[in-house]
Amino acid sequence: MKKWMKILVLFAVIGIAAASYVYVFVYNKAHPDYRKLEPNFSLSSESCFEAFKKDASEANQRFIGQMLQLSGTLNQIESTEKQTIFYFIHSEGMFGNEGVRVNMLPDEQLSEIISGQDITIKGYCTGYNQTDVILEHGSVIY
Amino acid sequence: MIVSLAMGIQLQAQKYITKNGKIHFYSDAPTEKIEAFNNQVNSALDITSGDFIFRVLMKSFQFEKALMQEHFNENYVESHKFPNASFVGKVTNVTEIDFQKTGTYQAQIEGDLNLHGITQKISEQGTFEVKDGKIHGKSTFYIAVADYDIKIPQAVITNIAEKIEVNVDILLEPLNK
Repeated sequence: MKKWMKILVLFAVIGIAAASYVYVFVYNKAHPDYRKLEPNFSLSSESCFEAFKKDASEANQRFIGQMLQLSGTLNQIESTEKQTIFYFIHSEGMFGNEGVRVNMLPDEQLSEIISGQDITIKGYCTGYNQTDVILEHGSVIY
Repeated sequence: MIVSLAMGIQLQAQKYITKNGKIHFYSDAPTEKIEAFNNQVNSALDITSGDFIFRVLMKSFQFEKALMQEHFNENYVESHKFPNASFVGKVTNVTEIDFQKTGTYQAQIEGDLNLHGITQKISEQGTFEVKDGKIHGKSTFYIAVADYDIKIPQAVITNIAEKIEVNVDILLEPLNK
């Protein structure tokens, strides 16, 4: 094989490898495995809710986009067609009960969890909608 | 208006709410189709006055691709600066809708949509299906990203549509107080 052809083939291989890497590991990179993420903050569900209620702007800066580990008494479990939602209720307002809402991971084993139980969970905080603090991708910490 | 609606909801039984409303948006651009889902939209409707509100957390939108979700939150809607979107308005033809009678009714909705820190007046059509004491609201409308000061870099201009299709699907239940 001539030298120029070898160089051409080498560049083509490098180009294909680079494009494949970008496609697989950048463009199609997987969502985080939230169950394995370490919490950035650990606090009671009531402290978390009160922080947002007292100063939403400051709490937004501190907690949004962070993994929170929350402890408290689970007041309500709601199951929809796609997910299970845990509620820690701390107040009442225009939408009825207010508190911390945790949208649990769909494959989380929750059959033994009951309302009224003291529990510790972790989840990804997406903010406060003036009624509830919302955590996504929740999982139970045993 | 939110405060007055909230006070009204606490005092009367003519208010319908949900915390599980669904919003889906779809961007149909030449080089890429992008969609996202949010299933925890707060909404309240006063069937007497027609007052109607929504509140949405931007970071609760879920995308198929993690990279798209990152770009949406960090570069486009800047959800660290503007974590909420909201709509505050009215069903202007509320008197034409019989919320006691099963049926599907056309609804005219007008109000202020706040997104990315920008508020724009919008006027959209929707339907309310009244059934079994609940109100199932649906609407599809389009918003222009430029109207909300959402800047798309030139490098990805063909990846994101100038107008985004927004689908709203809410099942409102009576507020029991």
